[in-house]
Amino acid sequence: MNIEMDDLTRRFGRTQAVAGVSLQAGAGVYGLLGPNGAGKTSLLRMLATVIPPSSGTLRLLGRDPGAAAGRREIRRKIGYLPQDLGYYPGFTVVEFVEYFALLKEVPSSKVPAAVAAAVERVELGGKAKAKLRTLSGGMLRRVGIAQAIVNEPELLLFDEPTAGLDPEQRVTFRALLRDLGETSTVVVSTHLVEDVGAACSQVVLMYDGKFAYRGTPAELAARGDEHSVGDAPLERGYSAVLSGVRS
Amino acid sequence: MTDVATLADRRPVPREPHRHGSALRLASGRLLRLELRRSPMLLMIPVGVFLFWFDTYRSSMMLDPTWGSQTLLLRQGSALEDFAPFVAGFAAWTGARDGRRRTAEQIGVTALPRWAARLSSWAAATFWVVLAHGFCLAILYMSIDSHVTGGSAPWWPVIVDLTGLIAMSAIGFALGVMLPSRFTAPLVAIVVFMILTVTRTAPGKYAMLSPAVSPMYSLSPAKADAGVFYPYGSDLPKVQVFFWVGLAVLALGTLGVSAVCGGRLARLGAAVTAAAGVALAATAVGLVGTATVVDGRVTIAAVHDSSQDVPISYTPSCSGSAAIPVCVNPAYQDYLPSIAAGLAPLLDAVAGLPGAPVRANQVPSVTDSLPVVASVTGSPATLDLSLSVGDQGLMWISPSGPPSSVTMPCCSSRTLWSSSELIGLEIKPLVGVAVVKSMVGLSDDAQQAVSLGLLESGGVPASEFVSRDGQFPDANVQILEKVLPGTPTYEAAQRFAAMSAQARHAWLVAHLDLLRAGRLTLADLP
Repeated sequence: MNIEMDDLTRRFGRTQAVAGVSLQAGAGVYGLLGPNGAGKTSLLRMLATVIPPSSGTLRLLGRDPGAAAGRREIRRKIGYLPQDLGYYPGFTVVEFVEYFALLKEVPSSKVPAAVAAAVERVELGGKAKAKLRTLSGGMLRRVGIAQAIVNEPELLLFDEPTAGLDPEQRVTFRALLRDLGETSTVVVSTHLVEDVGAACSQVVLMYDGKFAYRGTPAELAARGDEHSVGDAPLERGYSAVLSGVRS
Repeated sequence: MTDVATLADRRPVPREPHRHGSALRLASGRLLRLELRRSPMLLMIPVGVFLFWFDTYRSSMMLDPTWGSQTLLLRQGSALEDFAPFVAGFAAWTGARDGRRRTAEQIGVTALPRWAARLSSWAAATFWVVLAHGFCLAILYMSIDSHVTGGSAPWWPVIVDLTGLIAMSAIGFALGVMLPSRFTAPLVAIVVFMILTVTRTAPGKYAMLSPAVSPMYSLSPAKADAGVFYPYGSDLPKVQVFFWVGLAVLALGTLGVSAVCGGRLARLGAAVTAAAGVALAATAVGLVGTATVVDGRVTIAAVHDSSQDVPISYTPSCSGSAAIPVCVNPAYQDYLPSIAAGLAPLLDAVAGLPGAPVRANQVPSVTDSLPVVASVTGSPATLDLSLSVGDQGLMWISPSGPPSSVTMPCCSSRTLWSSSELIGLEIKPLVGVAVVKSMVGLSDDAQQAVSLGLLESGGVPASEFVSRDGQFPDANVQILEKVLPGTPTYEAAQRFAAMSAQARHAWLVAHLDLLRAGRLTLADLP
């Protein structure tokens, strides 16, 4: 299992962002849905080793992220795209991705090939030498994805990865997600249920720091058959689950 | 509520394990190269180099062609001041990068310890600083070496300069990391500029730790002829290096202490590094507290090298163009013809008289506001001349002219000592007063009249002193400035000057003892 968590919680002062969730996940694409403030980003940040849990057990890639040695080993094999992507405007696309490859301790001899492959996978080969300050928002998002996958991670964590991508790029990105999910555990936090439907094999819906639903996208869509809110089956399922939890 | 979701456990394809050792070193080299290419410090280089050329290089080249003179500005921290504010500011900008660009979270979850990544970023920035500043100093030293007439190259100021800049870079970088705002960099630059400006003139021993002030004190004497008469002192530079290395180590250690920088062991290592920096800096502060400063020479017993107390031996270069030999240190032999010619009328006028000097010797410069300090000592009498060379306070070195604080308009040191006409105008009166005071005295009207008469016969008219009216901060000159035309003393001086040389000589031989004893009045004069 790449992700093993048991009764995981995270508090920020009096606020409990994540309230005792458990999950075991191997390879595959895992969609994380939920309204704003449900605890998706906090959970993702714990999985990314950005913040430690307040309580509970968490093991990533078979290691304890609470121990320095284990954390470093995990971080070599992790890819993370935060919601708010930061970048250095003076770097070129290749330099930025190379920078992260080096920080992730990709062996030096493999860096050029790994960078080239990552840049090609997000279809930015033609902009490889362009400075980041010259790129559009969608292109920058793809650069962020490239830096996340440059180390061929076994655990990939994407927070709103398709924000800013045009429809064609989103289709391409979903294909990339499915491809990555063949060998790695990919967790995608998103508000766009169509992304989940198209790319994820499993979906978890969070509400108020807890898992309100887990299963396949098809099962979630089925939950919405009797519910009228939403334009698509998945949206109706999503609304139905949330209505149930709230009531 | 606790929910459990389980995905089918498809085992990830096994990947080649990461190699450590040489592969990591290669990766570090690659990271450094990447940081070097994109370091904002590159933007600082043209500014620093231009300021160095405009401020330090041009002015240094106008000074006397000795190592001591032409490195005087460097030793006062001028070159460091050209670079340091920009270095600290750009280092802070670099350090604040992750905070400003919101990359901290992405980078925080990478494997390379944050301390190592930060050090790599700092090292790249500092590499450009050292390269640019080293290049400027190399150009300055090569230029001096191509035309220098004496002395030896001082190396401690170079070490102090580079250490100071590396420390400024480390401190600026650490502040940028800790306060990642766009305002940090300009604030750091301004604060560094102000600290350097203040410490340059601040009194007290502890201000000497600043690289912008202390090198001038660390050399013996604290004048431009350091390295000519005495070896360069190294006590204070050593302590300065301790201090700035300590601050740099402290700053770099601090970068690794925060929790995001790795495991407990890494943080412990960073804390130990920071503590070592504090210990080193504190040691330097303690050492400078024990310093003694005599005539601008700093002695710190714990690090003192006594071999630096021994004067540099030399064979003087002498001129026979005047009635008595005029000798200077060979480092200044280019000035010998003009000095001998400028003083010749005076020396010729008194040569052979009782108590007159039989030789003029250059001696080490002393801290004084006069262009020359002259004294007659020994028996037979010797005229000791302490020439002020390259002193900013008196001989301005800017092509734009003298600062308002300089009351005696003349010229640069180099221009002055190369011109017999200027020496006759500016130096001869001061030397002449010292000679006549030694021979005759200035205590009473008779002595003043004879002294003025002798000076006039040596080409220094009495009206010269009146016209200067307080320009020379020399007590003896100020006595003669008060002898106004029309007074009995002035008239007696004119009469004495009008006598033939033989008559003056004969009268002095007969009356000098009584005159010096104060037993003659104006009525007794010829």
